[in-house]
Amino acid sequence: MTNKDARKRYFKIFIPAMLGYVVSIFGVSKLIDKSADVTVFTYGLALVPAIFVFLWVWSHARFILEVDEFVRMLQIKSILYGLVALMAITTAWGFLEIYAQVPAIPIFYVLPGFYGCYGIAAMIIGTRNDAGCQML
Amino acid sequence: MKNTLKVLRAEKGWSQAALGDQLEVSRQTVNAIETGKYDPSLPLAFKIARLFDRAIEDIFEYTDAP
Repeated sequence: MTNKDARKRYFKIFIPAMLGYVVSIFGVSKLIDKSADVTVFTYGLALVPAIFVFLWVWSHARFILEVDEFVRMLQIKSILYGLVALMAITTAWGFLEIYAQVPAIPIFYVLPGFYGCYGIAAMIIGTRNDAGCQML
Repeated sequence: MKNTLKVLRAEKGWSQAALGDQLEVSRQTVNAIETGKYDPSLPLAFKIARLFDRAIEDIFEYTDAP
């Protein structure tokens, strides 16, 4: 499989997953009455957006396995630097929450925070290795 | 790792993309190997050697880098 094919397969899942995520976010917020008692139905509905996020992350993992070895190495490096940055930021923010009373951030911001850090790392690493067009 | 991939490719008159197609890797991978930024895996090194009908040691020179 070429890297181009792997990227096509990735976007075939990513784009519908992102659309599903946006639609489900609005749908769930309309359907769940926060003042009502929490039921099994509430738990189920609340997890629907997470299914689409899982599909997106899974498609990225599959992309990494399907590209050639050099691009796979660049992807893994980008993820590593992204994780390091995310861990540093979340740890620092945690201490600021405790000692400086900054507002707490909901935990679901971890994933977009990671992809933000990963994105910056991927841009830098891709550019340095003349492989920017091969990165996601 | 030093290698003579660029020379071998030039002898055949192939572009990096054309060589990449034959090795089933991207042009960027070929470029990274040629410029020494990336050392290929053993299977890829064997593929390269077979394609140019050379021994791996004739193409890749292992150097003890600090």
